[in-house]
Amino acid sequence: MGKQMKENYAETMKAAFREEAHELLAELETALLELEINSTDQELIGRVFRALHTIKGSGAMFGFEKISEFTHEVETVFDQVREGALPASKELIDITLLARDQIFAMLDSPEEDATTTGLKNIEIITLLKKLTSVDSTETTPEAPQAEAEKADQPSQEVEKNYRIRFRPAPDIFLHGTNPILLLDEVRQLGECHILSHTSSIPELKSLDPEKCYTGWDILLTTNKGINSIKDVFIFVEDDSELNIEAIEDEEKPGTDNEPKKLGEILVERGDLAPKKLDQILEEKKPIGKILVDAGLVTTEKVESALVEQRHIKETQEKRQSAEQATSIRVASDKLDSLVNLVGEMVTVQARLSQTTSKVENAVLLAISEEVEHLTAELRETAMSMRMLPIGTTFNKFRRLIRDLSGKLGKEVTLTTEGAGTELDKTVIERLNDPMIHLIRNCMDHGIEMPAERKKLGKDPTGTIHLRAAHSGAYVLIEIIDDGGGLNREKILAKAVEKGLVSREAELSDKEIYNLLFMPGFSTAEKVTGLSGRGVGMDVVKRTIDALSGNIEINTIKDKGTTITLKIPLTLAIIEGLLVQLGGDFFVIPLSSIEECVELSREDAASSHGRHLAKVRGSLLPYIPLRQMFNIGGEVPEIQHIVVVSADGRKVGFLVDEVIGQLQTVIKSLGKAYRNIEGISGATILGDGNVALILDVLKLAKKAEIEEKASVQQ
Amino acid sequence: MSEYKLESIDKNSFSLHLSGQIDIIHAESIKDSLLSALKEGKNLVIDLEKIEGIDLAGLQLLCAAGKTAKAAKKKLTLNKKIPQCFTNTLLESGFFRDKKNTSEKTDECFWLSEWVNR
Repeated sequence: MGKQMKENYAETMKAAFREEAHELLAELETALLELEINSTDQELIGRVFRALHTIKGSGAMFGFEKISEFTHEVETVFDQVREGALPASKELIDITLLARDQIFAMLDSPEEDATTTGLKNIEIITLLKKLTSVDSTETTPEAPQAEAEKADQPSQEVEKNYRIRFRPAPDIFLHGTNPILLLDEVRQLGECHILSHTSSIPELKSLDPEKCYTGWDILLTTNKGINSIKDVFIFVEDDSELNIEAIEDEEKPGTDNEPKKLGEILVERGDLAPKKLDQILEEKKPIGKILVDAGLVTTEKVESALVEQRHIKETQEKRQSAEQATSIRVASDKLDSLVNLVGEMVTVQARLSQTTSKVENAVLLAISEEVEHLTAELRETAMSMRMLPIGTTFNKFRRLIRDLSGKLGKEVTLTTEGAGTELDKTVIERLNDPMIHLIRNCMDHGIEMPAERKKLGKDPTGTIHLRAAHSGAYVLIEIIDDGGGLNREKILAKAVEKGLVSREAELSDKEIYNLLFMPGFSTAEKVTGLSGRGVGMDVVKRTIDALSGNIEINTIKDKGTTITLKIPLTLAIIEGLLVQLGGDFFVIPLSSIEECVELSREDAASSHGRHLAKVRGSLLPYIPLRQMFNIGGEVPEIQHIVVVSADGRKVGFLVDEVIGQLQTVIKSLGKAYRNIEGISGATILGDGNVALILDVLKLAKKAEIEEKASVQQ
Repeated sequence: MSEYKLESIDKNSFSLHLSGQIDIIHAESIKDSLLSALKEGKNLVIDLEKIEGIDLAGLQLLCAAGKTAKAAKKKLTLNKKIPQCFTNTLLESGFFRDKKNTSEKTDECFWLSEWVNR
């Protein structure tokens, strides 16, 4: 039993590591790809190194030794890059990307197939070694030792401020020690301010040029612990004056987290007696000046204390901003259930408001209003928690485009815009595959070969631009390429050949482009390595439809193609129009609604039984929902047509009454009702009634099929 | 052996051109040049443009020269053309001062008020 629990715990830890590693690998990939463009950016090299380093470290901690060992090799190479000994060449980035994929693969197959992964590892490491030639072979045998040392070190120690006073022995130069190198070592430990003390330097004639007169005060913020500071000075410690002390944490009660006052620091450092300080303080001049004037401390000491003050302030500010950015990891199903609960809450609140409006009670009304405000806020917060910037997805495509460019022999760069645009997490996840497919299409069919582009007078390097932007309750995602554009004739010919349209059919450009989304349509003359994913354009269309989104194609010959996806911000809540049919309520998604018009009984009769209404001079086909849903009873004198656009065509829905606009929380229908055509979900109204949400597209299609059938009869 | 040339600008002003490594190996001869240069005239400009490097011993020398000049009420300055290696050593050794922290009445090295604060 106990053993099992232990195992469970280990598994949880491993899962946590895997999750972390996935994020780090994504970061690694992004940094590498950026580095490829900007190969000397130290910041980027640092990011790559840190990602590798963290994977290595936590891998070892959670028992992924193989990953840790492997990553160590890659890290070693990047250490050299960081030190400028090795350029971040394209070759190196290629191999590192391979290594990244390998780590990824190792993560997901914990029962490491020793032979295959092992072989692949060796292959990659050999490639790396070739690049670094001599250096890495030397470091490899040390690897396990370095690992062991790392484990011994209290690397988990908290970040602390240290005050180091270092007065080297006068004959330090003669021992062959260069104090500047020691200072460099201290700098490696963390953020620090170093201040030299030159007051002991005598005048020239009494100066022995081979003696060291300089001393230092150092303020260091590090998490490596006091011992690693001592290690720096280990060889000079005996002869020198060395004083290392940790500065007490500022977060003592009563100090309000404010940086220490100059006087306090001087007293604490033993440079000034507390009594003298109090005396001086009463005079209220800049304390440093007063103290120096009074000859109590030297300027140098004041200066050093000032540096300390500033250093601590800086590190504190840094820490604070780090704290502000902290986040916690929450399982997404917890968030889902939170959103669900908030949905219930919204419903109950609506009922509460409705009930209180009937009961004339001022107190109750006030409470109800307050609940309304709170619920609205709660809903917004809950929704925003599920929102993710789309940028992470964009970054994935960067890799895709890079790899595809190589395979196709085309040169393509990806530019992005609006990476910070936030979308519901589930929406982003579901967008991934369709977008991959669309981008593949751009690469495969859109962008021409470099030679061809040159002939057309274009830049041989093609561009794919991804743009995301908010537009009301929607996010617009555009995939813009500067390729050859869609070939209208080719598409039409193909469609006729496949029997999707008749030869005589006269189609608008839009209708022709929409043919692309028909199942079984492909204009590619030959199947390339790209089109093998089983995701056709029809699947793209279906996925976007399922998200209640919209897809649109615009193209200009030889200039390029723009594909626009219009996606609702969230799936959980929609804006809808509440309508009534007999005693039943239905919700039509507001996004597809164009307008509402009235239809009197005479108007209906005048079209001789066909479902056509005259709207501003043109005929509009409409669907009598009463018939469709078999709702009996008296039809009112004046009915309403809700005009919606479905697949670019206008269709009307005939209803009894339009009640109004409302925000609804979508509830999925149970298993038994899942496959009912024309209904996409349900919602609970304020008074507890259930309203079904209409699937506009399906209904329109169904009506079309029925109409065709009746014409043929 | 590097040469340290003292050049007269006018009756009271001199310029000392240093070159090569300003380090512990050459410290003794640099010290001598500085001493003799400080005996002449009222204003002395030290020209570091041609130096190839400087170490802590070199910095100490310059600092000591500054103190000597101050004591003798003479004006010692650095040529405006400062090589990168000099600035680097200043940064590495903690000799560099931020304007924010430097009080006016400093017994610090003379160049601080001269150009570090620019």
